Amino acid sequence: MEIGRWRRQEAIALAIVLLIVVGLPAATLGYQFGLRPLLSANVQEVEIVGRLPERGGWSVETVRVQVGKPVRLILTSDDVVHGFAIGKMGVDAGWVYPGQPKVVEFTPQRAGRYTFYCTTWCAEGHWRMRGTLEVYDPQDPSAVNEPVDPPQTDWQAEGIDLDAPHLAEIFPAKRPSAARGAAIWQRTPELPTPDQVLARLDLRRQSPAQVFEMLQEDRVPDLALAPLGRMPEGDLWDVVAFLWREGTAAESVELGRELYQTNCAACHGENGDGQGPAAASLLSSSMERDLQGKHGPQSPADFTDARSMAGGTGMIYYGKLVRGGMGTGMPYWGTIFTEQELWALVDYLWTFPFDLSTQER
Amino acid sequence: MTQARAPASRRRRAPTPHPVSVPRFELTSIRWLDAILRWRPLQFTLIAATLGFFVLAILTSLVGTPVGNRNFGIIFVWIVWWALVISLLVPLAGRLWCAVCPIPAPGEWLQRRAFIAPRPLRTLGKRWPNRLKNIWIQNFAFLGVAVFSAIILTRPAVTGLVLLAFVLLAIGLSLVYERRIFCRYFCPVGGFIGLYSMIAPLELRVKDPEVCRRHKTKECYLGSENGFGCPWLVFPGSLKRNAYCGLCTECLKTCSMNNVALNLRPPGLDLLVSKERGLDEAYKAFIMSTCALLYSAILLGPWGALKDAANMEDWRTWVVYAIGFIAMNLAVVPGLFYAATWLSRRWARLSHAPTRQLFIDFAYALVPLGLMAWIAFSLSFVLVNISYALPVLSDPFGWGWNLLGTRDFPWTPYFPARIPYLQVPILIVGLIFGLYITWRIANEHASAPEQALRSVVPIAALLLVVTFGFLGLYLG
Repeated sequence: MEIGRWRRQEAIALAIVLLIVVGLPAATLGYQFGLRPLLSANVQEVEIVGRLPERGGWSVETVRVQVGKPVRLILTSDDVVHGFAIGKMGVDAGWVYPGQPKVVEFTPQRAGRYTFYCTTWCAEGHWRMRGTLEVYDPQDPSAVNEPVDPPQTDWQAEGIDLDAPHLAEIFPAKRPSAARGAAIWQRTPELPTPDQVLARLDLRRQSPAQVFEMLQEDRVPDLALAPLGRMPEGDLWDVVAFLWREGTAAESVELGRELYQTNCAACHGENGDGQGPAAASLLSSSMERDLQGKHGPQSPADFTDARSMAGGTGMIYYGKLVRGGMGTGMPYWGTIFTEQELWALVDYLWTFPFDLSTQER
Repeated sequence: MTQARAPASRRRRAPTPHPVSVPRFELTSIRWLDAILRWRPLQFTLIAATLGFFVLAILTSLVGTPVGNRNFGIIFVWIVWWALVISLLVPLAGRLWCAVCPIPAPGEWLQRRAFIAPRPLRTLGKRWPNRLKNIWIQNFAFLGVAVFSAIILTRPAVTGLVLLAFVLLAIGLSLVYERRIFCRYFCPVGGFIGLYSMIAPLELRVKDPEVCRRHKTKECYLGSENGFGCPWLVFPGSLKRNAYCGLCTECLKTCSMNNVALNLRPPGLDLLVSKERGLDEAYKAFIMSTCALLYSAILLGPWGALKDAANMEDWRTWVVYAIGFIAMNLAVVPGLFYAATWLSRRWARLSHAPTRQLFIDFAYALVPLGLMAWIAFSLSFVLVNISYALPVLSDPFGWGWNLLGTRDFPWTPYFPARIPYLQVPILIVGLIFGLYITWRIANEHASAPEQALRSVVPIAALLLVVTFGFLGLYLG
């Protein structure tokens, strides 16, 4: 009787122990790696783990998905806060906190190669945190190799040297104000409308200094702008700023501001002065040290530098964004931003040398 | 005939008799509690529950997210379990954790070839060497874990491997040696639980030692058809302190004389049992107090370089840190205490008591202060981090599960600004308790109250300095 009771108790105990020691691991691992993928068979589930660039960056660097099939990305970070977005696809997961999986679902609509990237400055090599999303179309397998929305400009054909210094001979002594320029334009009745002037200028291909000289020397074709040439230089720079504001859509500047603050401010600074928190470490990073004497480490560009900005054109900045700064740590954005986004960024850059607000400050 | 005097170093005062006169309440006189404690499957049931958590902790540590605050292993071992053990179980119930600890269980089950039923043990039959029958291995094991603590406490994989190593070591020792050699002589956690369990108001003792003396079969130690012989190699008949009683209640079940009881008693009585004090335990007291102080400095102090060194930012700095850490534990603090003891002996003219003996005895005054310092230190990170327990319950591996719907519960530090207001009174209670123990120990050696008072002063001054050190760290 006693022996029978012991045997029963021991059998139950053994079952409990086996359940805990074998059953628990088998059940959890089996569910996670076996059952769970099966349950979501009609959705492609991909786990992407973010790690600091020096620890490998994204754990999956190339993800292959199918056009029209829902994708569920499970994003986690193993160390610091990363951000996740897929360029040119409108997928932005925002911040991914360490150990907190973030799920993003989308259905790719167009075949091609997209770039996913970290959207928050996470470490010195933040810009290396990139991966490729290959969207293939079973009907057209070769389409997967097509880069999506490539920048169309040929800088060489346009005669633009992206790496040449573009310092202006003439540049504003103080920050020009669009609001003051507007007031000057209003009280000078003999001037044509700003739209008439803008129609004869190309603010993407002309630098502020060139525009300044054209206005000062009354060289805008088919327009008489003599009153501007008689103005003090400071006032004329305000007029240039005014024209730049008039020639730029406010929505584009706002989009550019958002993109800049997320992707550029870490190095170039929130105020565009090149003093972002990542600037110092960028210079001291090992990669930059390796390049010393060849391309040399460079500080991030200072967009508040009047001389440099007055000499640069929108096309130059657009080109630098597309291609990145070779050897400077500036990443290439051409595979990430759409043409509209790239120009929005350029539009926003002009807010650093110019005060483009409507109210005079 | 004149009796020859023994050399000073070998002389000892007469052991203080066990303070039997203090009031005790026999919990086992409560019938239902007695019945529960005698129920054979009790320990297995409790261990099965903790084993589930333990297996999950190892599993999540090894294959779950490496992010500590999102990993069940890290949060439930180093926050929840630690808070439970250091703040509640040890101060209130002594070694109760050891009764439910799953680490020795697999080895013990293999050794017994049973989970519940009493059977003869099957091991290689080796006996633990006499010269190792002390807690020096535990002291060094604790120090070994302590110097790596910043890594162990924050890296899930390391935690998992350490826990796994404990289990494997316990199994290995169980197969070679009889009974719970791992718990008794190796377990770094058991070392400090044993030391501080002497404060607890819960004790397992025999009701009448005379009954044990007369009882020849010694079932409590050798085992019977009702249970195993004491797994902790303790003879309950001579048990006077909690330090090595794992509260497994086997003796309650085996004693045919119904002579074993679980009592409530005034806290800290075991610290006054002079007969069993030893240098190994004294060093455990130094190590525990020093570690509490060093951890407070590393984790709460403003020294970033110290944190980096503890975190093994680079090997060379860590080696310097480790040497300093060990030196503080084994030489500096004991050295200062020895100096205080020497002063105490000189000033109070306790020439009949060897300095070494006084050094060992007075070290027990550090036990209450050390425990309270650990509780105060633990509050600072337990209250701040305990809210992580909810998300990891829902998502133990950090794989995106949401079992209980609490995965996204935000990190909520509880009363962060008020923690010092809790730490200060806790430390002061520890100091007062420590001073009282110092006074009682001084009276064991002194022949007059004035002499006792003089001997207390240097030790009390050192305790005060240590307390101020802690306060400085807690109050910033």
